[in-house]
Amino acid sequence: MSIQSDIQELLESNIITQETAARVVAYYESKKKAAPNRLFIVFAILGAILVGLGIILILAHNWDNLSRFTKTIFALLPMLAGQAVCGFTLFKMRQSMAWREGSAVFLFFAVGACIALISQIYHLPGDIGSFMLTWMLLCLPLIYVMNSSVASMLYVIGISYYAVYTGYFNYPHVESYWYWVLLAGMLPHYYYLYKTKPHGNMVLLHHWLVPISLLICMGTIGGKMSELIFIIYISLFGLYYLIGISKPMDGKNILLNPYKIFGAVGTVIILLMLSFDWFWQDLRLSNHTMNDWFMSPECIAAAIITILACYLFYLNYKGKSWKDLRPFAPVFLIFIPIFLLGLVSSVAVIFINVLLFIVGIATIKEGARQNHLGILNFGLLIIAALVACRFFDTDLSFVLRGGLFVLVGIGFFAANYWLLKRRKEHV
Amino acid sequence: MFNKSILWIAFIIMVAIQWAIATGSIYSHERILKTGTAFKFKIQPLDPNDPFRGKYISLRFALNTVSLSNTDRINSMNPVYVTIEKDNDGFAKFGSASTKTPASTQDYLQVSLTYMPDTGTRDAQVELPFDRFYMDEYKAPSAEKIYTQALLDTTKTTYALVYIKSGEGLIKNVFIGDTSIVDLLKSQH
Repeated sequence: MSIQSDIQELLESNIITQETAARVVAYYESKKKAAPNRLFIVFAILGAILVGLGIILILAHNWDNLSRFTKTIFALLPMLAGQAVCGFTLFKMRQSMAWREGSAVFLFFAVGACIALISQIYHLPGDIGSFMLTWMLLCLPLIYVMNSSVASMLYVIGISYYAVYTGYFNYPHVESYWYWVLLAGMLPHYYYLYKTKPHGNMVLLHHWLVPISLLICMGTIGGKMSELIFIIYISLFGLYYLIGISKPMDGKNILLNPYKIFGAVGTVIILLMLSFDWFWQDLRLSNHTMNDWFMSPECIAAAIITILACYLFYLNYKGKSWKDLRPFAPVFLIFIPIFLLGLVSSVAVIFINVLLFIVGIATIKEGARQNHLGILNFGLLIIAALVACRFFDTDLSFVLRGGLFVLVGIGFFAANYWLLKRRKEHV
Repeated sequence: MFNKSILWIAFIIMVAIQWAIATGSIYSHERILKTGTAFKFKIQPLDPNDPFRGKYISLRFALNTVSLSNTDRINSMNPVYVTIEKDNDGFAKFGSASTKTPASTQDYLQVSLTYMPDTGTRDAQVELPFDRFYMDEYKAPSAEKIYTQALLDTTKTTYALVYIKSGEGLIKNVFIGDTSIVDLLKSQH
């Protein structure tokens, strides 16, 4: 164990006492004992997934030789087995995470296999949307009955697939409003996980999966008033960022805080897209009436998300000074009036570029304040991206464009050098 | 999260619902096959390069056009009900079509409207509620050859045996001549 050599070094330098060294070694020994349990859980889950898929493949090979009655029995058997294993887990092994997760995952796939096999037996036309909807609805209770986080994650993937298929690929277009109801169905489990094990791996995986699912499926709301989708996404990224900087989440390693990453990066991407004039020209040419705007599903969604984001903004900054504002927190609030201005005036695009520039500078300043190279360089990257976009957009001479790039490059070197020098001075 | 009694009640309810959906689906489809009327639907030749998608034969039927009466108000979301009759050769043909459910004494199918001309004729393109026949994926390449050749062979009629009841139709088998495609495959191996 490498910690042994470090402890020896610390002992020899009289940094720690013998007693402290013994306690440190005992602590790491106890952590090692917990590791095999975690490994067992992982293998149990993988094993359950493979067993479920394996059973399907074996049955499929001999399928044509079986009578319809036999096929029906085989279609129901995996589901019966999964339910039996879940029942046994509830009765005898409720405290074991490996058993709960393994049995829940097995039943999850068994239910899907059962529905799929029934469709095959009776040669039913393939409507993947209704198949996924039925499967997910039948497996939603599994998350709570078995208290299974893996089933919850599979469920989020399943409902996302349903929403994407129904909302983006189905013709004629059918609304995928069921997605929102289904997502709401798993949120209590997510909240319970967050409250009981806020630093656990399962809750971290949910922190990644749920925002990604929302991000992908939010676009299914888009219809005739597709311009409003930008307000929806800016407010969503604002909401993500505000969740990321709220007390329980803030201060964590950036990889453990996906809300902050999505919020910051997403906001920058949207602003960069809108820093080009093409969107604003199309916006002014659109001939929607006020009724079209306000009665559309996009407007309702934008209103709901913006209100949620405003509420979180209020909670985060209640009683604080404007100097405490983080770079990305107020962007969604500033964007909405710019969008409304853009309906009538070409000056909106200038405001977007100025906003992006200010966000970049504020991020650099935030990086310097927190003594964080990653945030500082992210700010510089925003400025560089803005310059690059204008490179392709404007009619500036090559000399001027080249000069701008040189300035940004010098800025990168200077800012990093200054921060590293400041760190050395404080050490 | 919940106490043991609540968990057990929830588990039993969950299992009951899963069984109800699964067995309900089996029962409703078995009912069609046991008590429905059998019709033979002729199959049209497909693009010979890709009659197979995944593990099933994709079926395209010769019956795909109906004449709607002038009083029917139609859009693509309306279901259309078509009565099914037998022609002189014993194959299925469309009778009348309407947006209202026909009399219960008639065999009919609920179909989807895929194309409705804006003006002039009231002939609409429809899609039947069955479009595939599942097969073992390892036998698929051989079945593909037999099926493709059969569709181009004018001496043989390729058709799907479909059972119809209360607007729903279920494919029981696909035949080339009078032999099912599954039996043809077995005889060739």
